[in-house]
This record gives sequence, C-alpha cells and structure tokens, in this order.
Amino acid sequence: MNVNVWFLPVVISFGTAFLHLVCKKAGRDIRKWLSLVGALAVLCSCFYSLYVNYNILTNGEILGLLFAILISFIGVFSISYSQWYNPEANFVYDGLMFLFMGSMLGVVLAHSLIALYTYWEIMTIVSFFLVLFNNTEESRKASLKYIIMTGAGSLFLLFGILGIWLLEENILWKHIFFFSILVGTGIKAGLFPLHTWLPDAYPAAPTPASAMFSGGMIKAGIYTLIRFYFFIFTPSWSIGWESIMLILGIITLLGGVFLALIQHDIKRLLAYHSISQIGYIFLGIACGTQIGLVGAIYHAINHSIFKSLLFLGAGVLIKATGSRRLEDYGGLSKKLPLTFGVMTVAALSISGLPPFNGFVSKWLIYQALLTKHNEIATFGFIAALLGSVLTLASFIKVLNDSFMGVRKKEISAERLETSPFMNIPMVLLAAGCLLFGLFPGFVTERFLFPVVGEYLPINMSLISMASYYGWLAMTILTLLFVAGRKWVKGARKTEVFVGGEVLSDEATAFDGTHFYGTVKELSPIKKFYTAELSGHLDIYQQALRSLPDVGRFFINIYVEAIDNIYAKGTSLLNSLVERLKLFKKGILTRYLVWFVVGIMVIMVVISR
Amino acid sequence: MSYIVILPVLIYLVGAFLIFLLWRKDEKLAGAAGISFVCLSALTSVLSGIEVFTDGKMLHFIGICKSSGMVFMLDPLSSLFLIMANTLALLIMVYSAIYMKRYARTPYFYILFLVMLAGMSGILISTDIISIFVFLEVASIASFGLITFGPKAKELVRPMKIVGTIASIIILFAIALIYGTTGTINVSEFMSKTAGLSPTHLWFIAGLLLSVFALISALVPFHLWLPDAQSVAPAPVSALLSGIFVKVVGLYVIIRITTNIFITLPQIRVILLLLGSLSMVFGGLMAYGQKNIRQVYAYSTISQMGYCAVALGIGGYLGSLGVLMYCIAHTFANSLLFLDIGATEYAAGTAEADELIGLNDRMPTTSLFGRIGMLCIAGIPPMGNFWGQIIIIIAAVKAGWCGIAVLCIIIAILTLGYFLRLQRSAFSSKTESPVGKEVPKTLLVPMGILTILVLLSGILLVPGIKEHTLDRAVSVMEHFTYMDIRPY
Repeated sequence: MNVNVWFLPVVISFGTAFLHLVCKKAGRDIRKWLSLVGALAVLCSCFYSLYVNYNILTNGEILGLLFAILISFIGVFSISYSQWYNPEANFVYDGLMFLFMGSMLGVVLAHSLIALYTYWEIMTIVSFFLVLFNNTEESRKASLKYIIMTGAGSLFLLFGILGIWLLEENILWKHIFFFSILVGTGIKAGLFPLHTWLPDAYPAAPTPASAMFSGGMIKAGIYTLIRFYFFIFTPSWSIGWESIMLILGIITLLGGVFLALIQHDIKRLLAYHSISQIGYIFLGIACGTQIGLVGAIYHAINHSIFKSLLFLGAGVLIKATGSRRLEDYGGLSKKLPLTFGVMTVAALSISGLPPFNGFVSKWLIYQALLTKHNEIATFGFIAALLGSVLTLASFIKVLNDSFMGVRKKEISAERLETSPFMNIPMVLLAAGCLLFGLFPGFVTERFLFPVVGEYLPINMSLISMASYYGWLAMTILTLLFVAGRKWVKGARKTEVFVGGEVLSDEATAFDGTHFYGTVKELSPIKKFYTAELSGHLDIYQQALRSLPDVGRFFINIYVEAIDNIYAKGTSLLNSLVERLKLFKKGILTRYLVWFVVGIMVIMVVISR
Repeated sequence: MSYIVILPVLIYLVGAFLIFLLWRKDEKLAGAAGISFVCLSALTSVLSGIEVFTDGKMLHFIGICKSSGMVFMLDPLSSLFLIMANTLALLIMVYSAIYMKRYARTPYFYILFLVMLAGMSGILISTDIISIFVFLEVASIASFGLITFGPKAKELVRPMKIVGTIASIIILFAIALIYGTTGTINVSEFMSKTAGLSPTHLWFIAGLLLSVFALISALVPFHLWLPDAQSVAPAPVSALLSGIFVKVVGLYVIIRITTNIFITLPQIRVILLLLGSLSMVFGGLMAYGQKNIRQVYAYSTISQMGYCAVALGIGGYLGSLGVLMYCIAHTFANSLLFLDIGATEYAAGTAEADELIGLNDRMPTTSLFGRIGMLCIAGIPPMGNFWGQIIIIIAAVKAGWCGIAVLCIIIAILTLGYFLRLQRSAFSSKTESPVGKEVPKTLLVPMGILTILVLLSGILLVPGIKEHTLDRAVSVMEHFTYMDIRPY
C-alpha cells in the first residue's frame, strides 16, 4: 500500500492541531474555518486512502481504514458542532480535539503493535485533558479517575503487546496475555466491571468531546480487541474465554441499561447506554463467527452514528436550559423541533426499531447468537432482546421528559437552531441512521465481508432479510402516518379530571423522576442499584478505599524492616567498635603483641 | 643528565644543612628557604619525571668501580610516587609556614621536614637494600622528631620509637641474611642468585621485609602507631605521615617486593589480601567508633591502605591499575583532610566531633574543602577514589575473589556512613551563635590547590593521559625485574 497516503489522516490531524497552536492569536472566525477545513481534509484523506489502497489491503487494514473513516466522520461532525457549542473555546480546545482525532486515527491505522500502543497512550493523555477541560470540581475528579483507570488499562495492554511473541510458547502465557489484553481494551471500551470511569468522564467532558469519546475512543478499544481476538488469537481459541466473554457481554448489556433507566443526568444516562451498546458489540465479538463479527463491527459503526447524534442533541438541550438534569427540561419540542426530530430518530435507532440502523446490526447479532447453538449465547439472545426493550423504555423517558409535557424552565428567547455548524451534522447523522438501516448491503458487502474473510451467501441473505424488515417497517410506518393523520384530526383533547381542584401544569405533568421509580424497588435489582450507587461495584473506588490499607501494610513492613536493619546494624556496629577499642592507645605491650602476632601470621602464610 | 635522579635527595639534604647552618635563628628566612628548597626539588622531580615517562628509566651510578658502587634508578613507577610526594610536600610546606607559627623553634621543624623528605625520596630511587635501610632510618627518625614536635605527650611516642627500632633491627637482620646467603646487598645481584637459595631462606627474608613495610604502611595488625601518632602530631606532619609516608615508604616498597623482587613467592599476594581485608574492616569499624575527627581520619587511612593492599594482592593489570589509581587519589584527598582538620583545629581549638558544631556556618571554605575530601575518599564518582575503587572491585570479581569484592563494597558504604555522620554532627549542624571565624587565607591557598587536585584526580584515567602515566607504571609492575639493571 502507499504508506504516505495511509498515514495522511493522522498527519493532517496533528498538523491541524499544530496550526491551531500557530494561529492561537487569530480570532475565532479564522480558527473556526481552520477547524472545519482541517476536519474535512482528514475525512477526504481517508477516502483518498481508500481509493488508492482499497484493492491491495489485507483484512485487518480494511478494518482499520473503516474505523478511520468512521472516526473522521464523527470528528468532522463533532468539530463542526463544537464551533456552535463552544464558541469561546480557545486554541487549546481545538488543538486537543484534533490531537484526539489524530491519535484515534493512529490507533486504528497503526502498522505495528508498538505504534498502536504509542497512539493509544497519546489518545489516553489527550482525552484526559479533554475530560479535565471544563476545570470544575467534577471534571477534576472524573479526569483523575479516568487517567488512573485507563492508565492501568494501558499497562495491561502494554504487557499483552510485549508478550505477544511468547504466545505460542506456553498455553499459560497465552491465557495470561489474553486476559491482560481483554482488561486493557475492556477498560477503554467500558466493559462492565471496568466501566466506571465512563459515566463520570462523559458528563464532565465538553459535549462534542463526549460525542467523540462515544463515537471514536471506545470504538478504538473495540477495534484493538477485534484486531487481537480475530487476527492474533484465533477466534474461539478457548471455550472458557469464549464463555467468559459472552457472560461479560451479557452483564455489560444488562447492567448498563438497568443503570441507565434510573439516571437523571442526561449525559450520564447516555454514558450508561454506551456501556450497554458495548455489551451488544461484545456479544457479537464473543460469538467469534463471521456473522457475529459483521454484526459487531456494524453495530460499532451504527452506535457511533446514533450515540454521537444523541450527544449532540443532548448538547443542544444543555445549551438551551443550562442544565444536565432531565427534571429541568420539558416541553421543548416546540422550541427545538429539529433536535426533537433527530433525537427521536436516534432513540429509535439505539432501541433497534426496524427502519433504522440499530435494528440491522442488532438483528445480525441476534442471528449470530442464535446460530451459535450454545446455552450462554441463547441466554445472551434473550438478554439482548430485553436490553433493547429497556433501552426503548429509557429513551421514552428521555424524550417524554425533555420534549413533551410542560416547560419547567424558561429558555432564552432567541432561536437556538440557527447555526449550520450544528444543524448540518445532526441532520446528516440522522440521515445516516436511516440510510444505514435501509441499505445495509452497501457497507457490509464492501467493507465488512472483506474483513471477515471469505464471502458466505448465508450472511448476505441475513442482511437482505434485515433490510427487508426495514423496508417493511418503513412502509407500515408511512401507512400508519398517513392513516394516523386522518385519525389524529378527530382526536379529542380534554382537561385532566381532578375533582374540581385547580392544579398547575407542573402538578399534572408526568415527571421523569418518577418514571421508573418502581424499577428501583424491585427486589433483585434493588441490591444492584444500591451497590452501584454507593460505589461498591466501582473497582476504582474499591481500589481507592483499600489502597491506603494495602499501602500502609507494605509501608509498615518496609519501614519496620529498614528500621530493624538499621537499628540492629548500628547496635551491632557499636558493640563491635566498643570491643575493638580495647586495642587502642599507645601501650608498649600491645604494640609488641600485635607486632609479633603480625609477623607470625605473615611467616605462617608465607611458609606455605 | 642522569644526576637528576639523585638531585631531589641532595637538594633536601643540602637544604636541611643550610637551614641549620645559616637560618636556625630566623624563622621567616628558614621557612622561605624550606619552601624554596622543596619547590626546587619538586621541579627537579617533575623534570626527571618528564624524561622518565618519555624514555623509560634513568640510572645513576655512584661509586669507584662497577662492582662496589650504588645504582640509583628512576622508572615510571618510582617517578610517579616521587612527583606525587614532592608536589604534595610543597603544598604542605607552604601550609606549615603559616601553621607552625604558634610553635617554638620552627627552623628545626623545617630541617626535620626536609630530612624526612630526603629519606622518602631516597627510598624511591634506591636499588639496593642497604640504601633502602639507610633512607628508611633517616625518614623514620626524622618522623619521630616531627611527631613529637608539638608540646603534647611525648609518652605516647615512646612505644612507637621502640617498635620502630625493632623494625630497623629486623631489616638489618634481613640484610644480614641476604648478605650471608648470597654475598650481595644489591637487589639485582640478589635476584640473580635467588635460584641457588634455599626456599626457606627466601620466604623468611621476604616475610621479614614484608612485616617491616606492613608496619610502615599501617596495615592491621601493625597499625597501632598511626592513630597514636596522629593524635599528637602537628597538622602538616599528620598530612605528611598519613598522606605520603605510608604510601611512599610503605606501599611503594611492598609493591616492589611483591611485583619486582620476590616474583617466585605467590603467597605474598595472599598475605596482602589477608592483611588488606583485615585493615579495611578493622580500620572502617574503628573509624566509625571515633569521636575525634583526626582519629576518624587516621583509622580511615588504615582502611584505605587496606584497599591498596587488597588491590595489590589481586594483581593483574586491573589490580595494578587499581592500586596506583587508588593510592594517588587517596594520597591527595587524605592530605587535604588532615590539613583541613588542622586548619579547623587552628581556628576552633579542638578536633572533637562533639565540640565542633556548625562548621559550615562558621568556616564555610574550610568545611567545603573538608567535605570534598571526604566525598572523594568515600568514593563519589567524579573523583579518583571512585574509579580506583571500581577498578579494584572489577579486578576482584574477574580474579574470582567475589568475597573480597563484596567486602570492598560494604566497607565503601561504611566509609560513606562514618563520613556522613561526621558531616551531620560537626559540619551541617546548626549553632545558636554562628561566629564567623575563617582560617587565614594563606592556609586556605594550599588547601584550595589541593582540593582542585583532588577534584581532578580522576583525570589520570582519561584515555590519552592514562597511557602515558598509569599504564607506564603498571607495565613496570608487570614486566620490570631488577636483573636488567645489574651494574656490571
């Protein structure tokens, strides 16, 4: 392949970051266009690279390029959006965004594992600064947690990478290295017991950065895992690990969505949904079959699209009301019609409803789980269905809370949805949701089947079936809409009957806080919730809690040992010295005794 | 030009005589004359050194005919020691011109000083046992005079004198044995006849000589005289004794005995290893237990002499290089330490570690010099002792003496330990009323020059310099035999 072209996206990203540094004195107007042009140039260079190299790429490289295109798309949209969202941001922010994008592109385009690790570390550090960027108490705490957890993950990954040449030596090593790579990539991707940085870091970061986190960074983790699991280890190389990965996927999926149900902070809620969707992707990967991998990658792409769309929409809500709490929203559909529309599309996509893209990829994952013929996989299928339903439930709450009902907080008078920097990305992403749902064959045929290797007709037929369902749903929805318009016209609007008492709108509104209040009280889930909310499930907090004790233990041992050695050593030394002092000061007999002894020693030794 | 070999000795002797004749009443003139004579002698030794290091060795013959004369010789090894001793002696002499003002009858001090230097330089150029004996007597008798020059206890020196006399008798005994068995006192002739000698005679002679020079190098168990002498001697004499006397008279002759004369006796190296390790350990432990800073330095000297002996015992190229490097660096650093504590005593009136508080505040320059000297001896990298130490350790490991190497490292840590303790108690401690009481500048100048020399002592190992100095001396230790310089 043409290496110069291959790394062009990375070079352009880093170069644009550098240009931001150079133009730091220039006004916002100039840097705005610089950002946009830079991001578009990255995207174009990705496509150019695809055009030049497509026919000569290996499986893994196609996968990398696919993720690179995905990341640069999300990057373009987020950066364009952030021109509207953070108009006062200085050059540091823009530069960080480009560095972040460049390092993610580096991870997916890297040729060697060490290069991958290097970009991975750059990505970790840059994203740390993005989490820290708002510099509030919350972001400081979250960024510290983030850097510690992902730093530990990087160490695990590095350990795995450095041990890669030992893989075939010994099966034990293979298990150890697989574990360390799973942990290393799993922390970045947000695998369930290791996910805890994610719900803290996403709300703390600026919203466009959150979109890039969700659309790009955790996908880089997924990419690395796929690279390792499918191209270095053989898929399903160990039945035990496969089961563990399936179980981890199920836990991630259900845990994420259950926790998302009860959130009030919209970005935190989206973060938990990210975890849940990672669970789907993980199930697809864990199947190890071709269709599973196709489903996983396709779901990763789709998740990037709809989750970044959701984040961008949430950014509009936050910007409009100045709050992240769902309780503060309400009745915004009139004021923010575009946001309402695109968020509905995204919510339906993430819930896996037919005409949209989430359905297709989830469908593929269901198929993979069903064709696995494995009890855990079958259970995973049920869990995945349940997860979809719960996701829908959760998003109904979000949509209802923010757009329906009574407006609880007055928002500023001027219109918000005017800037094309923010409108166009959202509309394009929403269009992506629909297109990827209706025409799944394009991406899968061109990109995903080359990745998984040889072409199997059964896979294609599965995809056409999904597409068929999509079109069917589209038709039915259109029919329903047309019919409904007639029916809705006749609908009757009445006052709520309250027995004569006059109530304010707030009192009659259905509050999102209580939407799933009952879920919290269900007995088996209640324990889970209390454990999560009190931080018992958070390995970071557990580690923080136990660390002082462990540290004190070791320090005690260490200090005591050193003290002991020092005290014993000095007392020994002193007593020795006291004894030796006997042979001191000029007394003739001692001189003579020592002299004679010395001569005798010399004579005895020399006579040998 | 070959008379330049004996010139330093002559200058010292003539100088001492002249001072006695002309200026014994005038302290200032005597001091100036002493300095100029030592300066002259140092110049001569440097000049001869240049010639020796370029051409190899220089011989000078004194006598009526070939069979009954004396040959004096300078080769790179002895020239190295000669230059070192004379430059150091110059600095010490300058220092003592100020320091000795508070003593009475200083012209006699200068006379004794020059005589002692004459004895030491003489030993370096001798090639026959009788002249070694004569010069040793000259040096040691002068040193007794110097040690007791102070007003303090002469009692302490009496056992030292007795043991010194016994040592002289032992040397005479050895000379008698040599003459009786081989019929010669010239080393080269003696060596040519050793083949016909019975092994018992040979090792007995070697053992006798070794004991005497181990006594002079203050190796354990012959070390007792050094701390006692250091406790009474004036500071320049301390520096002379610990810095030059033990090295030039003791170690130099041991090097000659081990490497050039008794080549057929490998047991000597074992003895050196034994005595060296004993000295290292014992000296280090005793230094750790001392309260008086002078005593710490004295025992430290014993410990460092142990290193030299061990290096010599290991032998080989690295061992020889190590002993020379360590010896040179330690000579400078040790003299600096003794001059420094002398200056401190001069200003503060005591050398007890408990009574000296806050030296860093009270006399910053002096304590700076002292600290540099201590760090050098403790083996802190840029300075020579570190390189010497590391060469010795490498040599020990390579020769298979891993235990010795470990011992060297432990004693190095111990050395650092007692020096740091001194630093803490005497130098870095805080006084409530820091009185600025720096020593006179004229004392600081020689110490400053010495400090620079100490700091630069590692330069001898720089490639390019090493080939022309240390390597020449090492090749003498490895290849030279006295057979080559037979007078006929």
